[in-house]
Amino acid sequence: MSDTFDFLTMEIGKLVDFEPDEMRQETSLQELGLVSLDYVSLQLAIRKRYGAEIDFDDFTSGQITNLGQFCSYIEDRMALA
Amino acid sequence: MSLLRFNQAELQAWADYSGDYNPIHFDEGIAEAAIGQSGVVMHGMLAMMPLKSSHSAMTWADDGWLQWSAMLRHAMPLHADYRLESRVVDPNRQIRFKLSKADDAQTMISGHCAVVDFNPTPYEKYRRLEVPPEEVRRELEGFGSRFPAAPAAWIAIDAMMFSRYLRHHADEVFHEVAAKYVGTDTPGLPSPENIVTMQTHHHDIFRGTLLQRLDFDKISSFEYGYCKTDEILTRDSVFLMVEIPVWINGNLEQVVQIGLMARTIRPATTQGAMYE
Repeated sequence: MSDTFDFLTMEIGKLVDFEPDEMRQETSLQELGLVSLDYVSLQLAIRKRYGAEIDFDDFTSGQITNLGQFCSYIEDRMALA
Repeated sequence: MSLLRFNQAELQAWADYSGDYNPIHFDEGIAEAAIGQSGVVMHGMLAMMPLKSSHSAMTWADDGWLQWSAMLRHAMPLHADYRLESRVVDPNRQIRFKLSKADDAQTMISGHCAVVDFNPTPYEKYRRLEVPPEEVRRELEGFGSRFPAAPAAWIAIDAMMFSRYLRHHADEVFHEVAAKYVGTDTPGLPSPENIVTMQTHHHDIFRGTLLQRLDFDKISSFEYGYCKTDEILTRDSVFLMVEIPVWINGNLEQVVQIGLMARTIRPATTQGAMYE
């Protein structure tokens, strides 16, 4: 697993009833029960760690549905940062 | 595990102390229009108070720095029963907790409390505002008389700084951010009555000695600063993180971080996903 994935699952684990080692690339965001305010928490954490910006609208549009996609999205954004 | 229930008198007591008369806490119609659920909404600070007290009563490894951190994930109706569960991750060093609705187990607040390494040096840059010791005593005793079940010094200082920020600095910070994103000359700039503000995050970093009651006679100087440390614009809202360091007798003792989200109120039928 990548550093980004480990970081993401650790941060999500602070918000929902899932431990990081229970999360997989294919775990869906819906299954995790993330709510919109959780994305604000994740935006803050990702900005602080990687200096990358994520756009809330990219998550509500249905393009990103699982953790693997979320992780790739962050890495793409890191390349732009 | 413990069960918690809050009441209207506590809601009023917190509003009277903090100056937080946000109508979502008192007007069911406004609360429903803003949040999309019936009944008035709890103050986040009030909801967190018994959690902070519960964790302060635990045994911690040393008297270094502790961090108490919470994410407020949903607006919390006043008239509901809640269940606090705290789980030890690392004995005397880290716990995780969640406050859930008792009826459907929905997690309203999640967070942790932990012993942390903390470097106070970056805070030297802040401009400090001085509060006379007699004023500090009056404000902290005012909190203690209303909320005697929260005796730890850091909780009282936390409440005092939240109140100070709200009463003296929030308008300035909010208007600065609103002007940045919307523009002061924009006809559509929301008026205060069309904006709902909700607390979304709360963090405290404090010396372990502040788990005890504060000895007012030992305070010769009390200073604080404030600074917006983060902002995020979402589709229909603005999020701010504000940091408030506190120095007692010249030493940094506590840092309060408050996350707030402001958005315009829309008709209930068009509510988006902000507080689902």
